Amino acid sequence: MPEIKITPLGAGQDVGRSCILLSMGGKNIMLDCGMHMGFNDERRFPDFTYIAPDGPLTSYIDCVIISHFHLDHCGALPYFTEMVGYTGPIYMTHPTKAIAPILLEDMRKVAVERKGESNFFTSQNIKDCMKKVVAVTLHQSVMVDGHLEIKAYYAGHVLGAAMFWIRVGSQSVVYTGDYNMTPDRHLGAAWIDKCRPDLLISESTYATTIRDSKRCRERDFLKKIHECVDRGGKVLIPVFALGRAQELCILLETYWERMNLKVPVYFAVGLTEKANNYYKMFITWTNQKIRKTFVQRNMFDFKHIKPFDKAYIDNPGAMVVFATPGMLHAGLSLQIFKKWAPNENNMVIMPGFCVVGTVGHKVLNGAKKIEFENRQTVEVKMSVQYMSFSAHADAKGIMQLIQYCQPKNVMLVHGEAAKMEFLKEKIKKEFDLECYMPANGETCVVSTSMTIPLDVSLKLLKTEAQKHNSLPPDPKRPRVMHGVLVMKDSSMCLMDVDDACKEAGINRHLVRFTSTLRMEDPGPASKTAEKLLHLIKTRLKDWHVQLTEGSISVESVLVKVEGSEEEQKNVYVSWDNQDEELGSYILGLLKTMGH
Amino acid sequence: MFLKDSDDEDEDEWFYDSIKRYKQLRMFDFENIIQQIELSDPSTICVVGKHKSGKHEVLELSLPEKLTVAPSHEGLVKNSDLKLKSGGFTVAPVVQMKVLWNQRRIIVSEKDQTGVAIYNLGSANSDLITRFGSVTCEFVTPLMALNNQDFVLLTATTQRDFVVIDLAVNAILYKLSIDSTNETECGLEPSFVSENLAALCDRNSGSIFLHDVRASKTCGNFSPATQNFNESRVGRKLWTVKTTYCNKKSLSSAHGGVNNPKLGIASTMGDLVIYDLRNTSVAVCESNIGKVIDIQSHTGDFYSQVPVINFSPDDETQVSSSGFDGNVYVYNVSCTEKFKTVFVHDGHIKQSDGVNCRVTSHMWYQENIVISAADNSWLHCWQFIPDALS
Repeated sequence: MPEIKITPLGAGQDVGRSCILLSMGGKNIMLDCGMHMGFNDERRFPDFTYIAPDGPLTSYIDCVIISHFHLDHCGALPYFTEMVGYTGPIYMTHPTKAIAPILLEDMRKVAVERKGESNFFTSQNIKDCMKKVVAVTLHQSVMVDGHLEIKAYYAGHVLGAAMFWIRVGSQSVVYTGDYNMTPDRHLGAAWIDKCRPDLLISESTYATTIRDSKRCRERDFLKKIHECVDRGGKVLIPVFALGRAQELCILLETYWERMNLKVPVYFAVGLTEKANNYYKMFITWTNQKIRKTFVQRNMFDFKHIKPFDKAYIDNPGAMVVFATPGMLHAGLSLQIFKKWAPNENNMVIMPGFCVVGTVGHKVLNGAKKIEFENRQTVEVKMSVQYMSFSAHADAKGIMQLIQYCQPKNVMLVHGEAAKMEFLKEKIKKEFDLECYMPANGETCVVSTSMTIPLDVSLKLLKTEAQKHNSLPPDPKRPRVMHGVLVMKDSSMCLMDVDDACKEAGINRHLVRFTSTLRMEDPGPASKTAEKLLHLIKTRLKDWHVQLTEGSISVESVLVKVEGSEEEQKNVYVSWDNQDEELGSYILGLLKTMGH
Repeated sequence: MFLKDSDDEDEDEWFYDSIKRYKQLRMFDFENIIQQIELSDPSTICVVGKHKSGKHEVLELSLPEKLTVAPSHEGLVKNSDLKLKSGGFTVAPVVQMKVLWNQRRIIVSEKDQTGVAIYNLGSANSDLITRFGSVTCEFVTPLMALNNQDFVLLTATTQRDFVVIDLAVNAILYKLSIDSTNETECGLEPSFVSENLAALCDRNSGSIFLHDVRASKTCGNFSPATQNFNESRVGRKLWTVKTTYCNKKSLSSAHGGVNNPKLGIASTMGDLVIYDLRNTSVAVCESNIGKVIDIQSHTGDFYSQVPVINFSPDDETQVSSSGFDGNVYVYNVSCTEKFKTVFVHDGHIKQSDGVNCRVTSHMWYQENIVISAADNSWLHCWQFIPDALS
């Protein structure tokens, strides 16, 4: 049985990064190339030596596919290409290709400049890496080579995120990356057609979560901000330029308008310019509402949210500010933080993940005092709020996705098998599908049935139809059809013998076997023939047996009896090469009669 | 401004309002309709959901940290999701589920099954909820009540018999019967009032029979004075009972409900009567909430027909009620004169796309946090802010 092999790279139980090796039809594909944000040493990158202990990786991997720009899915790519030496094709969507290098560069800066790390990839590495990337469009079929085909589907989640369908020969796999089944304020929901892949690969963490609705998380956000500004406090929201900033701005703007609030709200200049450009470029990736709005006017032309000026930091009274960078590790957001942190009326809302070592990370761990390089310490009395706005699928979402694409098998990676038995049973009950849960670093093998498509010549079909009175094919009662399999180029065709001979340019030769039996059976030859006929008819009930002019015939088998009344009878049994089995059987049968 | 549909605007309005009405609000979209919710440990709930295939599944879910940590720490945690700890399918549809506290087990009464079954919740080795065994008893689909000492009181659905079983040894201690005062035989709903005292509520009349499980004898009874109520609303009504003892596992240790236990009965015609067990001759609060459940349209298990009422674990003068419509109501029941609605949770209706929905069940968690589920597959965890004038 042809197999599909999956190996999630990474040891032990770590779930911080995605990098999955897929082997099928003789091709090896790497799905995502993520970096683990929790480690500071080699453990942050996947263990590529697994693929090939020594020697160039390019010959082992046919292509790399990146699902979206989050660093736990693409963070190790520059390392893989520039430092490990992979030179093969890399595929991702257009927005991912545009945005990934920005995040990679930000991350590189934090790692090298703030944490003083060496042996990290350089800015040039990132640029060189991205030059090797081939961008793909949604629903566009891309042939990586003669046999390997990939297609991207909309995944929601973040701008440019895609689920990938991968096909080699008649086997196919869908890799979901991170996706989301409910639309939100700026992105739509994931969608895929009924592509019926042999295997659907998704994350197990989502399968065991039931997510708090987006609306409730937004409510929390608005509530915290409103309460803070009501008591005259200042709210700082550190954001990534291309993360949730736009969404949160839209949310706040709507609320401010409805509640008629007068408290000033600002965004850092540059935050929206960049974002604006990318959203304009990738407008088709956002949802209907955003598109409609954009058509009317600039998405970031807010009524209540104005550009920030550093001078405002010291303004008295309540205000809300969106500033970069998102982890409070440098720049404007850090500057504002230092000024506002000591006041307990103020608040900082962290909407995203913070790398170890950044001020954001320290603050989220409850640090009450932060020390800076210049011996400056800042007391953190302001309220710290950690909120999650990420749009991920959950238990219900996975079931919905399975329903959409109808895979033959399901695989959930990055989970513990013991913690997934219930889900396995559920999927089995509801869809009658096998659910696999490979451990990190271990290979999981999924067997698939392979179908080989064949052409059948019309002549052959007509003959067959005639023979069986135009009865349609019945999978429960297969019928034998004789033909010749002719392989020309990459197509295979089942043909009638004569046509095949013509095709091959050879003469057809027929082979006929004849055997003679001698029997003692006094009486006229015709009587013997009748006895034989009766015997054959009894034994071969399903076959068409007839007696014509003294010869019994069944398919191409002929039985002729000769001899005079007293003598031994000679029974001549002959048959065509094609009816070898039948002929031998009848011969054997007649032999028994002779005794 | 941004283009919005009017539906969105309505929803947005409700959410903006909710900022002032609720301290916390979490909403979860399930695959199946959740029919029952029970607390299985201080930060975990067990729910029964009706699966598409007709089978019932039991899910053990960790409550989100944002709900379980102290308010002072709430800002530093970001998890607001439910996490599936274990799950499993039951043999037959679950009519009633109770948690065996501290044992990682649940006890269920299944449709058309005799006795009750015990299921193990997941362990370190497996996240499957599996059937462990059963408690033999001749009643079909009995109703159950448990006390802290693993005594289970089972009542038959259409007869007046009941049994007391000691789960520790899985043996029936004794079987008794309550004489019927009506012509029609009808079952009793059990509920423990305190460690040793159980109340058996006559489903048709609301009469309460008190039974001492240690002494194995009935020791009193009382009935609601139904004459005073809505005579115009003629028709059969069903009653259900709840006590403050049911919250024994709750996290609020205040009030030690054991000392002055309260009992509440509610009817499908909206009656709500509260008794203090120290003096059952006079109800503490007699009221009618002004809502009705149409019994005819909810044929089926007992629990789908009667309302769900609960005492607040923090404040016995507050009782919640659901099952009449898509809302959960919280009332002040300190006394008849002061009876009033303290809060109405109308979040479920907002999600049902204009179709009428009904709250299937609810439970109190702590500090005004209530968890409720509706028949549109959503489950809500909400912490309300009581009206200023209570």
